[in-house]
Amino acid sequence: MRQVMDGNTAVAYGARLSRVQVVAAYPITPQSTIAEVLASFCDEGSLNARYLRVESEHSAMSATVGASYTGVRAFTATASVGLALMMEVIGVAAGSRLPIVMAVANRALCSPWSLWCDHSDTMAMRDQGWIQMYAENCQEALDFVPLAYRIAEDPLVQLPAVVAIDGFFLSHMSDTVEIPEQEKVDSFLPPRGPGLMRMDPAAPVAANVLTGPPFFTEAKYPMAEAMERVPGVAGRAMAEFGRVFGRQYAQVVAYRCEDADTALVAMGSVCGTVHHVVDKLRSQGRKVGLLRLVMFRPFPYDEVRAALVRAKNVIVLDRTPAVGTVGPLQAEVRTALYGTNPPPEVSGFVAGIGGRDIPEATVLRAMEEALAAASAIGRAGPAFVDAPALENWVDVIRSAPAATAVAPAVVEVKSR
Amino acid sequence: MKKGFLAHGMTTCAGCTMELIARTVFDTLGEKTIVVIPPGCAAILAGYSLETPLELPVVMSNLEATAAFAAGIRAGLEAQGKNDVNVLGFAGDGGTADIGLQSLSGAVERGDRILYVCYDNEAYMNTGIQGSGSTPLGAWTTTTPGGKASRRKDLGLIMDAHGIPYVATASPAYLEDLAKKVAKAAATPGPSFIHVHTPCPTGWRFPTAKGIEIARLAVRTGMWVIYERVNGVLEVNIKPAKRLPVTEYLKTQGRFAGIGEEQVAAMQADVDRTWSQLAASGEVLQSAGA
Amino acid sequence: MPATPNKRLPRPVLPDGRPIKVPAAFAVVSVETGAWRLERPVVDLTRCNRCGICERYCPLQVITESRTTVPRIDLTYCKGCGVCANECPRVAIAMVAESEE
Repeated sequence: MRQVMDGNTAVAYGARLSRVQVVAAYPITPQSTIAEVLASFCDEGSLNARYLRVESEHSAMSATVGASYTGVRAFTATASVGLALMMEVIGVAAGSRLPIVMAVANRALCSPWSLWCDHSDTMAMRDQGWIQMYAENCQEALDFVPLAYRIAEDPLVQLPAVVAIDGFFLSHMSDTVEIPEQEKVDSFLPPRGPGLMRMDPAAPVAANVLTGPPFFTEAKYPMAEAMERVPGVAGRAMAEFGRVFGRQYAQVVAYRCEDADTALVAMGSVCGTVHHVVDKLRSQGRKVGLLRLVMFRPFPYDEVRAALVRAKNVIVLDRTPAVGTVGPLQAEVRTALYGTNPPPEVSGFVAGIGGRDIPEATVLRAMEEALAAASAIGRAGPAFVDAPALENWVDVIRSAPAATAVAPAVVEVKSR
Repeated sequence: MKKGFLAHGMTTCAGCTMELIARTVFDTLGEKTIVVIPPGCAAILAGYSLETPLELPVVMSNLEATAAFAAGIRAGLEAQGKNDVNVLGFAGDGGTADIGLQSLSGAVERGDRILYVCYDNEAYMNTGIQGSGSTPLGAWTTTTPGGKASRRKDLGLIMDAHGIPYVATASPAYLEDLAKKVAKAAATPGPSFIHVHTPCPTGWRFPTAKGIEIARLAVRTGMWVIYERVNGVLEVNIKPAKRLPVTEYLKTQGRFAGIGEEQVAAMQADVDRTWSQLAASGEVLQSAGA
Repeated sequence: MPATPNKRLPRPVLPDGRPIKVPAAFAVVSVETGAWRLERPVVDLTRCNRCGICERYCPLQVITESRTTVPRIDLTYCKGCGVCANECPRVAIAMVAESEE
């Protein structure tokens, strides 16, 4: 059945089709309607789940963790500062090896306050042991929920997963969405298996206890091993998803990258615009492509390297403010390309933060900046491509403050 | 021969009354119980690395999230139709009155069927005796080195303000009373809260043998009122035949060594006012065994 | 006290049967805290009236048979806190320094 709905509603449908058994959520713009729609589903009886109207995001994640510990399929959703408030428990979910799925309607972290989209919220949790999938459209917002559960609950994985949808650009944008049939989802996503740990009086265990230095590493590295197994598990799950539902997903989507000498790298809803730019430039005879990352964790280093290694110029769009560093996507792409010979010239740009639109002009400007000036200023630091006074960046980089005494930035120490 | 659900040898301090309270609570609830314990002294009960002293299923929650973890566990059990399991939150005063108050308030307001036991040793003992919202007036802690300047907050009244169906206080000196209340709380079809006075030899500066005696003195001086409220109706369960002056309690503990006369007078006045209010409220007084 | 592995949750394994480590304590273990003890409770059987109060208040629950035969105190775990001696209404328990023996 096809229906027009926004991304948040699509996520809620995805959760209902996944037959989640416990939902704990707290309202926050732009996620709130996920919580509302799921509450309505529970109220009308179309979703047989316990709905916990928690008093904070910290409790939302805590209750989701508690529920998941009893063996049920648990779901939550949040955004921005709500995710930041959850952060303490985010690590508990992963460390406890609980296959929770959480939707995040990406929104900027403050300060200043912003209601609008960027990826700084999910980027802040990127190394906490969660799988991360970034949707491009409302159909993916729905499909990625059962897909994420399927990957997270795989006996080889047992890690939580985030389905990230761009706040407002996806959460509140209406689109035609194919709603899969329940029987098909049931066949794709069977009931949750026993898991690694559970709270069961018939078989007690003491979980998530204080763990000393001799054992902490032993508890952590299996998480890294499980994350290493995600690409294989996700590949099989996506293949089956394609067979069952007719929509084929991948961890990385390379669009016209094969012979591209200039490749753009991006995630999320902006990829729609970049697709358009690529098509336009291709029609003008320029060899341009787009590499879109669906999965950011685990980071698909091999796939990214293989897709980009033939390009002369790689241009990364980070929808995350980078302060004192480069954008996280740029850093990962550089890591993936390190050691290739000859290495592509990598330029990274921060764009579209705090809800700023990324129109065609911004994408083109990033390309022009990269191709014209990349070698001149190196672009090792952050570049805010859609800041009005972009040209000032060169001045900022070149001008040194007239301080009376400046300690050397690097000290060489010969011995100690 | 082993008794109860906890190993006999745990790394709790010698003379720890929390340990006795925990054993009583677990023994009363029985094996169909899931326990949530946040960081704090009772985390010892959850275990360390690969070993645990506790034979019940237990998860260590985050400090401010005991009630939310428990609420989630209850929701998960209900979603599976498992309605014969107790869900117990067992937290100290810091994790309850301070950082955990919000999640506790949320769970109680929602009516989640969890049993929350606060063992109140009146400071952050596990981190080294720092003052909490439940530290009494005048008490020395490492962060109130000159004695605490403000009164403690009243957790029982805070719970009562939520309309909680069952709230009670208890004391390790009156274990039958505690056990009876745990059983009642577990049978309550909604949230329940038991606030247990928990003398701490390490933090309160008294000999390890004196914990029960001091708990009893707190009741006999009227400083710790043993009561329960069932659906809002108050009943004082243990009424001291003749209340001793608060100094009888204060002088047993090194933490009150520096307390001023004004503060002692204020504490005595607080106790006297509390008991005159109780008498005026017409609550049922019984069990004068104290 | 022996561990009770049969009753407890089995350690998790991967689909191929290899064990996987998770942050959980599967074994129930008792620490021999008797080694901490500076003073040892000694019951004077001529004074003890089998009231059971020592057993009730022992924080470790290591006193047994206090109402039937004589209080038996498991010194493997007894930390020597002295609560039993302090609570005994007949002053039938003495705390004796461990070094005196």
